[in-house]
Amino acid sequence: MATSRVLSSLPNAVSGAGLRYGLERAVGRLLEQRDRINDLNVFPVPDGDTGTNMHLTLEAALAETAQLPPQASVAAVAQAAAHGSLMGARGNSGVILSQVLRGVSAGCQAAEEMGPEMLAHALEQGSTVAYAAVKRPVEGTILSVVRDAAQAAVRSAAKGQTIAEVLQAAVAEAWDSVERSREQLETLREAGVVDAGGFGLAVILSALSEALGIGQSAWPDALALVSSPSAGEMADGPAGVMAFTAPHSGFGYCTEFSLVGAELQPLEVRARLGSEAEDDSALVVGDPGLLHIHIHTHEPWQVLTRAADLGRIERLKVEDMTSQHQEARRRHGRGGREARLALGVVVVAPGFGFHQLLLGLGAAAVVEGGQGMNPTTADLLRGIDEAQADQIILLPNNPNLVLGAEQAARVSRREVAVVPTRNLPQGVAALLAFDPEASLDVNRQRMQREMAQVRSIEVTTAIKDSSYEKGEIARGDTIALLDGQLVAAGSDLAEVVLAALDRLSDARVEVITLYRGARVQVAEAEKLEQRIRARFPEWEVERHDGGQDLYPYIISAE
Amino acid sequence: MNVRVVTDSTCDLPAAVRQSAGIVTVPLRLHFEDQVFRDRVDMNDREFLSRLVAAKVPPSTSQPPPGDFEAVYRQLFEEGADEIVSVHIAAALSGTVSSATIAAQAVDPNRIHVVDSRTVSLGTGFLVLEAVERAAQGDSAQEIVARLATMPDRVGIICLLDTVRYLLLGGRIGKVRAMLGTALAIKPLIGLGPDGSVVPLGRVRSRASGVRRLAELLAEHRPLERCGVIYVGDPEEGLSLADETRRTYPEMEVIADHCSPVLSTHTGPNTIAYCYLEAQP
Repeated sequence: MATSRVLSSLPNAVSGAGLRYGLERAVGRLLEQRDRINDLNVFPVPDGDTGTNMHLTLEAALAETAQLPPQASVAAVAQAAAHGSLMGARGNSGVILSQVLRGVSAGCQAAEEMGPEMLAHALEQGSTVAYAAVKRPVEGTILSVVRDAAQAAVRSAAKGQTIAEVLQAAVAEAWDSVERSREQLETLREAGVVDAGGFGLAVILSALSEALGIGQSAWPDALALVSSPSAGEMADGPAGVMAFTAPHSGFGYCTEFSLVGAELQPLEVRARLGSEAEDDSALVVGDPGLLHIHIHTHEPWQVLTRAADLGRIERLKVEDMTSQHQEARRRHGRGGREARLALGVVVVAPGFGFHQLLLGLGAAAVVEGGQGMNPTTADLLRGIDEAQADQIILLPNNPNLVLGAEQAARVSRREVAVVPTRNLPQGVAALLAFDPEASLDVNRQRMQREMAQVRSIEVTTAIKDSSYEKGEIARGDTIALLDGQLVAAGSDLAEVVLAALDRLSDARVEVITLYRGARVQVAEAEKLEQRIRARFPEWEVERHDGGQDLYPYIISAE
Repeated sequence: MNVRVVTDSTCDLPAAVRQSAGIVTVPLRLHFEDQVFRDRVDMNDREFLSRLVAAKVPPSTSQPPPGDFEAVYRQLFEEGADEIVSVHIAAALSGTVSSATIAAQAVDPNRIHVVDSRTVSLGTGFLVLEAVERAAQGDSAQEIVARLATMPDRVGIICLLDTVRYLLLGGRIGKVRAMLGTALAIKPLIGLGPDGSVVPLGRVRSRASGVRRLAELLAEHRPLERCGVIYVGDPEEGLSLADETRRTYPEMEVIADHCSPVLSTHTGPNTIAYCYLEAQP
């Protein structure tokens, strides 16, 4: 279809047919951009399909307009689009889009055609209604993009500009706003991307302007600015730092449905659906009789049971967001960025084995470091950043690093508490006591108490000749420290370990954990494990690969 | 008004308490391969534990057949009961409530009230005790049921397992799944969520720190109305925890008993747990 026709027949207004054609173009453009928008989606991760959601929502809007006669007014087309999108809204972004359309429809009520001022007013209404649907609106999202675009349109219309100029002003401002989102949200800045929903909205506005025969070349340039990150860019954080930020409980279920026949206002329904509906991301929109609901919950069945008491549930969709999250991580390589944690633990540890073990136990980030290779304050700060948590508990696992850790805590922008673990067994014990649901203070106290319950033996090599209570130590001898005190020395590694363990024979020990260093052969460690079992049959003995350098064994007794 | 109280073998009230209060207990079923045992009837706790640890195929459990309930209900009416309150393990965890309900329908639905305790072990036991006490005061079955309905939200269980193995085998892993996949052997602390599913409460490496944590978690639920210690295996640890608890809560009668075999199947040996009833605000 020739795009010029709309303009030539109605130079300064959009007809119902013009709007419908614009919607058609927007659906096509969203389909083209769908995967790119999905990939932009880092915040909030739970809706890993913003592009798909916006596309399908707008498609439902367009489908509804197909019921109208060809000469339908712009108001009728807008109203049909609003209704269709409300019924077909998918995901958070889809629901917000449906609210934008609802506002636009309200803004051109009863009008046969839409002129420049009405367009600006309609966009403004779209922004207002969309803002009202979200409990705590956030800058740098689809909401701020629609608001910025609307304000630009209003300014342009106030100057008496043509509909083409008003729309062009809105499009240009929309893309600028999308670009700004990169800096407005920390998750976006760190991932180096722009907001997915905002991007989708800018695509829609651009497509409308395109359909009206203007601004055709404006938006491919804009697209180049906001290229989505490649796997390579996302994969690696700063050297020596690994991040793992999935919440312990998973993300729960994205639950969406329409509620038909509930003669209640959205706010009343929100209150009746339970605590999940009070969450920031929860949406309850529409009018009494037809509401659209989008809630993230761990217990969708609870929400649905309550909703079923209020009205008829239609178009139900429940998705496991934890699997979406895993998919997103897979697509972005290891470094996929997720929603922030409230509280995370950052641990300093040497060796691949320890890193894996600590991340498996729920550490938010691990910083490489150990005896003879203390991380710098900058390294610690990078680890703190990588953890992506508002509050941090830092475990230095080395007496020489406690001050450095406290220094990093003071310098960091985040609230950081240091639990002064002096060795890895203490660090593991503290991490086990960590409860992501409890407060920073409760955790700090509990972790400090638990770290004090564990006994530790560190086995290393004497770097110079010296002596201790039991005799002389030659340079190169193996020495064992029990809770920091030298208790055994000698030339035979296994004998020194056993002698150190003898010191625990009176203590109340249940579990011995042997962490093998990088330079010890597996067979040798196995043999030592067997000797420990034989000598202390009442103890449980576990052996793991710590991978630490300089220390053939690190041992915890609990 | 003569109201009698029926429960099932998972309520973990000591036998002496059940007998003296005239509580009738219907046994769940234990299946070791093709053999069927009535819980705590055909097999005592000690025999059960040795079989559990030795079993190549883990045992399974099932609800009592409705016929057992029918027989009990008819018997109680013959003995002169006017009404029956039948209190059972959470319907989310066992089909016992449905067996009882089917039987009640067949016998006399107007005079038999089946209650889903929404909890297990002594948690259910606390509801049973409340029912018996209210019945002794002359409350009607309806009044008793209304009272019991206020209790499940105040009941809780804090349980230290020796291993997650038995939860896994029993398929009742719930949200504790998140604790799996760690390289270190850990002992999980678990509880029951409001929907009856298993929820994680913490993890420890040694029993000593686990038992310490149990006491801390219990203290978070003060003030308490009732409390008890349930254990699987050697009574010594359970009884000493009960003693310690009596010292901490001198005003409280602390029940201590071995866990029923049917529940032990899902927790495994060397489990120790607190069951509590929070005081009404």
